[in-house]
Amino acid sequence: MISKENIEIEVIERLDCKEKEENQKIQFFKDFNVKKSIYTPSRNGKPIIISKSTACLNINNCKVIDTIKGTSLEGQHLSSKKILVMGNVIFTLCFFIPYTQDHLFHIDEIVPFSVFIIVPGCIKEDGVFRFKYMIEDVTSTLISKQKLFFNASVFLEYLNDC
Amino acid sequence: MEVTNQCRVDFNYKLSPPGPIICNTIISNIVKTVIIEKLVVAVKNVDKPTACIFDILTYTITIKNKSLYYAPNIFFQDIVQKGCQFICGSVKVNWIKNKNLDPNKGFYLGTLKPFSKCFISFEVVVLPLTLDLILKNYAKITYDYIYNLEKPPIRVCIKTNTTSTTVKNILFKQINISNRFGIQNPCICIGNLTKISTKVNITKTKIVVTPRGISEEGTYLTGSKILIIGSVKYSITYIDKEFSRMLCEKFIKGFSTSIVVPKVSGCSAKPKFKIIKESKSTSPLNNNCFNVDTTILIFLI
Repeated sequence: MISKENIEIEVIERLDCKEKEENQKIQFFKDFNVKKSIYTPSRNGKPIIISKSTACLNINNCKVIDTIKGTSLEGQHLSSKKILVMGNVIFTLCFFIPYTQDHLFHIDEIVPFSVFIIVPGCIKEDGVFRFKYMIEDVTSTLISKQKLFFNASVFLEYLNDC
Repeated sequence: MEVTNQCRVDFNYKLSPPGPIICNTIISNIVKTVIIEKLVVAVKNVDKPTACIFDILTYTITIKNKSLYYAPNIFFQDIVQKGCQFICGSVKVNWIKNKNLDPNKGFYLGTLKPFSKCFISFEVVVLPLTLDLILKNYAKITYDYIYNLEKPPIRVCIKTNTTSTTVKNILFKQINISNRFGIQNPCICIGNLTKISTKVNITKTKIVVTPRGISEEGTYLTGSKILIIGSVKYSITYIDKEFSRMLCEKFIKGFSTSIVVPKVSGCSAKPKFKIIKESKSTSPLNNNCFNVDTTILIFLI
């Protein structure tokens, strides 16, 4: 298990992502969704109006795992090593409740996730692990009167040194 | 080339019955038919024989003057077929970009010198709702043909070959939605459940910009994906033995998934989806807890 001190994470800006297209191809990444549905935070089942939703990402720890080497018929390629990344996404939702005092309320919701990234076989199991991430999109929507659904599309990339 | 024709009539006659036979010949007027030779030939090509929704097709048209004469006033027109949208500013004439030209309206290319070529290329985007359609397209080229220097030229219209692109269904995703339900009422157990039905709905779709690349694992990111957010409605019918009645409880749970699509640029069309519910299964976890799995297939239409 690699502790939090040995993990460095940085954000990919949208501008960076355009530069990247020309410079090099990204190789060790995962594109995934983190989601959770909760009950609406208003009391007595009052409707709410979503004003803004944001999310931030934390990586708590990660782990290098041995797998097999080979390519499946579906196209999945395994390189004998993968990193299991465990972290959480903190959603922040700002909302109004109509017919109440003109307040902007906000709630935080921590959603844990775990994801694996296929990494090259020559990866060292000690030292600093560097990651880059990009929160592509944050959506919160009401799926019913009482249910609120959060979704964040996350792009997480492992920066290879070897 | 000109085809001329004239007829000749030979005839004999006598001025008086005992007189000599007189032979005579008359010649008709000359008729001329001008045969228009194909001065210009045009070939059209498409870069993709099969495509999917949101794919960009590049059409290239090569116009060649195969004669010894100048082909003046060349006019090019290509009406983009239904199911495609022309991408503004993508026209290139001899590999030089020209932002103002539109192949639907057509444009002049000037005069083509003998044995010279002209290349035109433009891009179109395949719109949604074109599944299993064959996109056929050809271009029209009009030019002046001078058959007689003293007379005004005639306009000659030629068509290129027809290109075809089949739109295939490769934008789909199969997902499994698994949700756990617990029974709070101590009088009811798993055996009392009679029917569980599910209904899948899509509530929100969004085109999201992503980085581009191929991962070691084999995941391919093109730069765009469609984020789909939906909900599953569960209606669970059970028997309440205490009061001898049937009850129905309704629950709603959310799900989200994403489908990678070709890089979307300059297309405002909203995608539509079709959902096929492939299977639904219920598995009891313990006496008052059960899991409902729904496998669905979502594809763009």
